[in-house]
Amino acid sequence: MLNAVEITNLEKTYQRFRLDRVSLHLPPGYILGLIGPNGAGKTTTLKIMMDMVRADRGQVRIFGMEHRRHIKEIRNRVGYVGENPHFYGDRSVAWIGRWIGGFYQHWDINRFQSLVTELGLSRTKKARDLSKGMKVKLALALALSHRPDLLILDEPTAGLDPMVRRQVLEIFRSLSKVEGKTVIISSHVTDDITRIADLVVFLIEGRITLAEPKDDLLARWKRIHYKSGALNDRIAAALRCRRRQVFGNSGITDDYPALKEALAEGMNRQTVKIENINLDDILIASLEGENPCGTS
Amino acid sequence: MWHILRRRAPQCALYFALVAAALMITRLLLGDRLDILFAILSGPILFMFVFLILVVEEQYEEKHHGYSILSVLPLKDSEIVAAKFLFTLAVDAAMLIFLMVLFSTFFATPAQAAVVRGYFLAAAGFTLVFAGLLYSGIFAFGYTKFLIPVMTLFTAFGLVPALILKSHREDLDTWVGRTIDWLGHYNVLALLAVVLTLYSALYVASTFIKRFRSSV
Repeated sequence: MLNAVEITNLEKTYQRFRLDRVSLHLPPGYILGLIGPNGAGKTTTLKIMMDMVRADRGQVRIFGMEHRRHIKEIRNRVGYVGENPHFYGDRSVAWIGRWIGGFYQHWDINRFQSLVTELGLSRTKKARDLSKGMKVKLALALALSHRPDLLILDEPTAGLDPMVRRQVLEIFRSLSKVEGKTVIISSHVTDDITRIADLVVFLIEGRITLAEPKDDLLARWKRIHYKSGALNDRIAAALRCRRRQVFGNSGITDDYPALKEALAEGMNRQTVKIENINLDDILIASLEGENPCGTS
Repeated sequence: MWHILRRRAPQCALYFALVAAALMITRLLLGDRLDILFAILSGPILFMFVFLILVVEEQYEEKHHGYSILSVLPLKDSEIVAAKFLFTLAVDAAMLIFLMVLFSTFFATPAQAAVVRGYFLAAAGFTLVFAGLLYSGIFAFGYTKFLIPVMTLFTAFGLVPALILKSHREDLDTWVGRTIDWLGHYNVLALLAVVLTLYSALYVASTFIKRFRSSV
């Protein structure tokens, strides 16, 4: 099956930042969560996909089309929500919808109007009077109204209150699972990614350090709590983020299935306990080299 | 292309209406005292007013991320540049023609009308080439980066001719006469073709530069 997105060896160098041979392959119908600290290159990668930033090297193919050569066709099939959506401040929500709709081949004005109502936007309100959250909602309504096959979302839930955040994430999930659309969502709020993503990519300092299905990732990375002497030295030394605490020690493994057997005895004796960790912990643990688990 | 600029069309219509209204009021106040010097000097001043507004609007557009709105829509960079570059030039050209017609009709006797038209034609050629240079720079590099050259050029454009005119006022009639003679030597259509070729070259250059810049 043709991949929705294929990125190969993407490179971009700025004065103090380098996107280093980023490669990604995303099949249609999946939600990909792009996770990384600020300045990791998430926005640059997404902007290159939209041809808003030009890469120094590498190739981007969207729906099999080379992105720069077919940018009009691609943008007709892609909905993009940037980190800080901008609109003409002197224009109303309804006017912006009509105006932007004029650029798309398959603009669905009814869908735009129903999304505006659903997201609690006022049609007559001018863009300059919208709060940051409202602007994000308007950007989402605009990005969804031409029924895109691919949604590219750069920190889309920033500035949204929890209720709306959940509502918006539900829209993304339904787009992917019901309508078979592909979604790329970048965020450093890993809760959002955990909630909806099928695939997770960690982008750290311009390089992809991890890329795999979310469920596999969460199954592989576990925190191990153990009493002194309960683990053999080889296993203990391989743990990340090791902490010595009053009532025992803990550390994170990135290969729990391989250790499962070796840990079974300790678990039976209750000298070893396994704890699930979230994507935040995994992100921090994977940064261990520079800032050991954010604790030093 | 028109769709990009639909937003600004009412504003442009307003500029034309304001300029026409200002001139009509002046005409009523002047009565029969037709003054060719008034026509020759106030025309470019009015034009520069509109020219400045267009430049400031571009600055406003850039400051308020107008380009980032357009850059995610199904448009090519070249279409965005073409819409803005050619539209701005078209407004400038239309304003020059509009002023030329108004001045030669209402502020000059039939004998003077030819002089006014000649003056405007000459001024139009130089001004539009200059405007083309300016706009292509703005669209290619962005207003903010182009601010110092814009201001320098704009000041030079506004001040230098004014100073020359001030110090050589007595030679003005001769200068206008020479311009008419010069225009008479050349085919106006050929001149227009040269100006249009220059526009096209500037448009291609600005699109080219914009395409190879890292961001829109």
